[in-house]
Amino acid sequence: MSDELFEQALQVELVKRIDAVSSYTNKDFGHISKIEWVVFLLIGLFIPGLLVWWAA
Amino acid sequence: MSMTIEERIREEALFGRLPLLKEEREYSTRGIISTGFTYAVAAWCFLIGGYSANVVGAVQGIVTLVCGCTIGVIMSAAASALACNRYGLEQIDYTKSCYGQRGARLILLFYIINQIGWTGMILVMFGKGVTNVALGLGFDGGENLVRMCVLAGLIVGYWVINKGVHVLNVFNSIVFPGLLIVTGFLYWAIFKSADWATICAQPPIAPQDPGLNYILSFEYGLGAGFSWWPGIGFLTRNTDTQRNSLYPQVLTMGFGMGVVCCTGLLAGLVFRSYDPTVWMIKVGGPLFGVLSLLLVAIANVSASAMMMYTAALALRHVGMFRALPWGKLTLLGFIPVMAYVVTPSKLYDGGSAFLAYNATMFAPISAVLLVDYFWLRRGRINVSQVFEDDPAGHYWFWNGFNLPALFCAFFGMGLYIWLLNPVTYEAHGPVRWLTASGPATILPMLLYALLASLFLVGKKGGYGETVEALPLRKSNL
Repeated sequence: MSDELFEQALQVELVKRIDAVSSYTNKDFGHISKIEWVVFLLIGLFIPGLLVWWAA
Repeated sequence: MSMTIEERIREEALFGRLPLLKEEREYSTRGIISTGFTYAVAAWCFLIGGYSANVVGAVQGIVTLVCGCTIGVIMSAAASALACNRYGLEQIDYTKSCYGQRGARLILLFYIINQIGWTGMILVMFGKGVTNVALGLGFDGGENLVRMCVLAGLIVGYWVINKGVHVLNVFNSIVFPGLLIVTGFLYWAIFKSADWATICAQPPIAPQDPGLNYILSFEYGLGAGFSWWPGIGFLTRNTDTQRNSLYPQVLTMGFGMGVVCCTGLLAGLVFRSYDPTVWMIKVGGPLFGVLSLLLVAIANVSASAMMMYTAALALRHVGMFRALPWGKLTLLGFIPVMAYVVTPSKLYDGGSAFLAYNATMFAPISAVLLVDYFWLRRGRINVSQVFEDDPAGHYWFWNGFNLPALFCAFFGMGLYIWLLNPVTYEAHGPVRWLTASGPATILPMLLYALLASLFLVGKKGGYGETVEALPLRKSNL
């Protein structure tokens, strides 16, 4: 198998994959809602930030 | 036996730059949590904890390490994790949508510095471990033994990554449970040696400026969290949902890593040395101490091989290296690490500066990415344009560079260094109240939002344009 043949196949595969991933929607991987973001940021940023302020 | 085209393409998708399809994703919740812990429970955690023990006591150290790691991972992971997951993209490829086709190569430089720096650090730690074990057995190998160990670690690492990822997986299957046991054992041994009140009463080992110690420890935690930036895309493109691309990373590489770092902090405070290769023998005694060190040594070689593997993959973004055979490409990554063979102790002793420097590099880079992906692009990019090298492509900006984004990232780095020089610890401005990472994150974010609205949106960069696949004029793969 020549590298040239592989390069050609790679470019064809790239275009196929770009088409596929471009068609993905929120349903494909799930969607993090705004409420979920708020809770996540509260737990992940605000509370640790508060703890750092407290321990200072 | 040579691989078929299908097999090579599959490998290119898994470990190269082809977007990974939904059905190819390997990590569900359980998979990504266990992989995340495998990464997080690494030997450098003991070292990071030791750096904090130099400047703060137990309570402040625990808070700054656990919270710093968690915040650092959230800031560095949020944009990259969601984008790499949704589009199956490799980290630097995703970065092109923000910094431009050529601008992303500048970011690649910081990526490689991170990988090389950590590889060198943990290989010297491996060398120091072996030297201390030898010293315990009556043989003083000194600096030369450390050098030989670093070189040996590099050779083994090179062999491993040229044998393929499956060898790394074999290493990791031994190392991860071993390190978990060592961590548990160390906690037990520390609390057997001293009760909580005694540990809390221990002063820092080598404090700096009184007003700065706490900030330094917090920056170490943040630096440890931000250090994951280069590895995030490699993992999250392989996850099956948006939630699994983000939450497990925060839990494992953020919170989990912070907890493991605390082992190094507490042991450092009790046994009065920041260096795990010194305190591990004191904690575990001649038998368990040496066994722990040996396991850490194996872990270090394994982790260094993993980092050099991802560094070599990243080098494929550079046109002149793209066609190089894998053996030569990986060798290229190892050359700068040779500095650690020449002056291992000097570079090892400057490790805390390197740790803080990770926040210097990746806090502003992540800040600009957050604004670009969530605010300006509303969480959508055009994947076809990521692979488009033609000047008419969306992500070509100005000659391949998104100048406002790069300016803001470099402004943030300069601001960080002015606020807190990670090498000299010289501090200016409001660093004692606001930290260095805080302003170096927030100000580039605000500045980029302003500059992008003036110079980019509706003009360059494909903001607001279609995200549907466009025909490729000139592929960069």
